[in-house]
Amino acid sequence: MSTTTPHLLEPYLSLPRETSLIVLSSILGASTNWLLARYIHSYLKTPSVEGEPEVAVLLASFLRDYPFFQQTLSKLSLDLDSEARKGRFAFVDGLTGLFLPSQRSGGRLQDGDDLRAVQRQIGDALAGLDAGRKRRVVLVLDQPDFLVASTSAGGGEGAGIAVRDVILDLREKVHSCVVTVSADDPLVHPPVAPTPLETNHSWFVLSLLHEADMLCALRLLDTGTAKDVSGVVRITSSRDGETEDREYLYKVGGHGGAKVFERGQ
Amino acid sequence: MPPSAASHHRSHSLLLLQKLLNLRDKASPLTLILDNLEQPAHPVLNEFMTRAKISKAKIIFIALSTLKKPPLADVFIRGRHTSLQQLASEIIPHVTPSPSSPNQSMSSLPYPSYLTNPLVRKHLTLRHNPPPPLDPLPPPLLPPIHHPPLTTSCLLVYHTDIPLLPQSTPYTPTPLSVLTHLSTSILTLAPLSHVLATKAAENKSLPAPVFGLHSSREGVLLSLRPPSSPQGVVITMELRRKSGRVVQEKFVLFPSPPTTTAQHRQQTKGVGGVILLSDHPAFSTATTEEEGEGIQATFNLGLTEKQRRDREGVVLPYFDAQTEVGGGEGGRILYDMGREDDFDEEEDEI
Repeated sequence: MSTTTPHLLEPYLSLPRETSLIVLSSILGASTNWLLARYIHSYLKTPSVEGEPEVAVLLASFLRDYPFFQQTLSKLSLDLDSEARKGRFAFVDGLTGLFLPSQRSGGRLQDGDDLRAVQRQIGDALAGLDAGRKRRVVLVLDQPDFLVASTSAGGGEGAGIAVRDVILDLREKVHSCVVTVSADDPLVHPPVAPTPLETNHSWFVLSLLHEADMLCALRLLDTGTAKDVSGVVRITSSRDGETEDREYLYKVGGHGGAKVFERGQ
Repeated sequence: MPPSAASHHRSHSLLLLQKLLNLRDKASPLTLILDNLEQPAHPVLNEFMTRAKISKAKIIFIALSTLKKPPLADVFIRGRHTSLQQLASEIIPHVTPSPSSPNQSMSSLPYPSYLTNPLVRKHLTLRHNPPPPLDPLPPPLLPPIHHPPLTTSCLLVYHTDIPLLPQSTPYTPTPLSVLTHLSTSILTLAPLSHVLATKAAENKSLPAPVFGLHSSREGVLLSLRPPSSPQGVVITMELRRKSGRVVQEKFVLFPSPPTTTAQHRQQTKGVGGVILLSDHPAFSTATTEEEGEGIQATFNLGLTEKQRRDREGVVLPYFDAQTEVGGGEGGRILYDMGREDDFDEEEDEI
């Protein structure tokens, strides 16, 4: 199985235009990790064009730690450490620092309760990437919907609004933004008597979709499980008719390989 | 409906929408656009802005979730992180005419603003008393109503598919109900392809298809639109006249594609076309039969042109009898005697 970029996905992985937002949605069993890795890989491997600023990636993950991404991307023959040394990559760990007793270290979010602190940390990392040279920074937020639940406001009103505002503020500072969210049914369709958290999560995901320029929605095969198909990826653009909507099947294999193909192929 | 009445109705309805889109003659001080993920409001907003640009009006765009200034907007105001009072104080200088402003002489000064629900919601949920009918949610946000000499119009976009956040008091009316009470016209949007699919299912008495979020397949958030699907936005217009009469009509807006040639652009000035939904080929009653999709059978039930002509040429036997006798003359037995018939004269005499 090929570890390179699936050929059918290539048109969607190129650097998007300014201020655009790409949303990758996952459900249980169809995770966005392989796709997110390909986005990061594609941005960092973009050959620098003369006269145009370099592309850099800031990855902030709230559900996965740095070694995970390092391993995933090393399978795609991309060394995150060396990219970080070149100043083209930075990682903000939103996972380990959140609820453990504080152990100060760089690049770790300390308090999941305080959205301002989260925003400040990511802002600092952005400033570090941008320092000196002009770079086009792509902000990659992995599962920020976790923040909706983790902030103290999660049970009350406005957690969804607060997290969305943080994302909007961060988006103002970067070239473009890639966000992954969970879109399982209970998280998107609140029941008849929803809890505040359910409403907030759904509010957050749907408002994000309204702002998105492109959505890659991953789901399982409608007809059940199959040996040679992991799931379905549906790529829809924001209804302006610029790009065509597509639906492909994908298969994620061992060793970081992923294959994307049309139905029936 | 006789044809003249139908065409009158058509031109009347189209005129109403054109008036609304051009925001002419104070057509509607507050227009509410209800959109959803399947049909976002961008095409309709662009249409409003293009037309406003043609009539040389000033466009003020208040962004609550948009980062980039739309190319057509004259003034771009960021509405996040500001209280309503601050926001209003930012907006009012732009809508108040100053003597030096060339716009002041214009009869129309449309003022489309782009309000998405979060702010409206936030502030509505914070209100403890139900808003009185004529003192709208953020009073300073609606200067057009309070400034009669200015012909400003306010456009509001509300996403209907985002769930309502928990309200602080259960007696507060929902933002949507307040907004629908206040607006002078409401445009509800739907994609043309979905409306056509629903209509096709209805014609065959099938259950209406469901799209996107409602398709009850886990993980599906947006419907897949094949490249060949018809472009267009179905607008359900509810126009509330000053007299209290409500005009309801459905239209299809065909936004002008961004890739049109310069010449075509010059002709249309980037303005999209509008027709009545009932005039759309799929909806006009004359052509409800679908061409090329007859009964599924192993033999052909249709007729070729020659067969049809031949069939029309056949004279059926009873036609002869009808012409000879004519209507209303009673019956007569027509019988030609054969050779073996024995004619009995006496029989007739009885």
